[in-house]
Amino acid sequence: MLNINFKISGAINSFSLFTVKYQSYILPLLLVVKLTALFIDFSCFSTRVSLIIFSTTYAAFAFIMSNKLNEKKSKENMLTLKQSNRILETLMYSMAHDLKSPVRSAAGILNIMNEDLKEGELNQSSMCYMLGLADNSLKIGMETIDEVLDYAKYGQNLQIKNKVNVDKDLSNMLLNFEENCFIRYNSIGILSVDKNAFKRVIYNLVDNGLKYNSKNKKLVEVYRTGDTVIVEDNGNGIEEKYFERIVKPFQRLDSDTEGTGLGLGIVSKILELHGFKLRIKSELGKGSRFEILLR
Amino acid sequence: MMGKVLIVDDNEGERFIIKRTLIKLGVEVESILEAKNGEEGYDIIDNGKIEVVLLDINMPKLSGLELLRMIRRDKFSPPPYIVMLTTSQNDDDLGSSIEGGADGFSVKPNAPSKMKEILSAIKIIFIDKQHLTEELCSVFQYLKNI
Repeated sequence: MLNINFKISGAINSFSLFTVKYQSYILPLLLVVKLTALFIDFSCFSTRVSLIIFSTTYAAFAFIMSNKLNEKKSKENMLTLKQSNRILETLMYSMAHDLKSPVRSAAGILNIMNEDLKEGELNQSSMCYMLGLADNSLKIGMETIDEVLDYAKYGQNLQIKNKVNVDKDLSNMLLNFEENCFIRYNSIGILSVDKNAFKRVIYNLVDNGLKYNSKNKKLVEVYRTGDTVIVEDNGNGIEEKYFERIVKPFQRLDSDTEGTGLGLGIVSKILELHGFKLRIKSELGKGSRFEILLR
Repeated sequence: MMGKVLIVDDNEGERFIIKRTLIKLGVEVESILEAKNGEEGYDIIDNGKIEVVLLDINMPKLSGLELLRMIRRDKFSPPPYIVMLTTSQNDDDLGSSIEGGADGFSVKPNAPSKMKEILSAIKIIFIDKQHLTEELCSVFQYLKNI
């Protein structure tokens, strides 16, 4: 009697599993059945009653566990959402500041020019100086907007394709850099990437290697060893305490050099979306090495 | 006696605006010093004779808040008055500024006329030191209410 009950209950419970969508409950199911069998002597019940008892026990168990799991999942989702919202708020605040600051600065300078003009204190020299300042501020604002749009762009529509040969595109791109520097490119070969996004990663890393470099002979190397793509430069280097900070958006370490602070943020975001990791090694005064771990 | 004022801001345009407004308030050009980042600012304060620091909160590498804490930690004598400047009102920045030991906090004004109101209050401090404590309290209260 009990054997038949097990077989029929097994069929019913498979159906239950399908409806509850928890296939991982097969083991707990067997546990429930065994425990129930320990405490209830089914030999005195009819098949129908045995089936009812088994199914009811299982359904109750599945119902309670599914509620608990849903609750847990819900809490985890809420936590993830709160964290995402916090990150987004911080990003929005930084973005607002970095956009507002240059625009406000340009507006303030033009106001001063206007006041000086009314008071008859505006001469050509001061006018040229102030216009230059306002122009610089607005350029920074425009660059920031472009970079923000880029940053947003690399979150949508990333088209990762298998077996993409990036050599031709990358080597062509690297030809466009300034002439008084030396960029050595060795074959990276085949990757599973969104080609344009990966190009952007290499571009930003090379650009930083040249921008934050006060050497007479600037050198950047791009190459691959096994599952690691490396961009190495002889630039100014970065202190280790800033490694975590510089990959976040709107973080700059240098007020003398132009930049929006989004370059490495974009690199970090693209690599994350590809499932790659970024490792930074650097020594002040000697240079930096950015390792893209493909696995 | 007019003390020295140090403007610490990574944005050259902002430094220019603040400097021009200080000059219009009657501060002598020679008394106004500038620093384009926190480290430069600290070095100038370390060399002495800075009475008021107008300090931008958001700067690369060494932020305004970090510089504020360094200045208070190193207990310069006499300690400079420090007014934190920010582009937009943020309760966290205000709270951090107060905790860090700032004497004032202000959202950067859009118009120089607004800047004049704020800096006029500070001007009272370093021109007339007899009423120092009272004026400092009223400036801080004024800035808090902005």
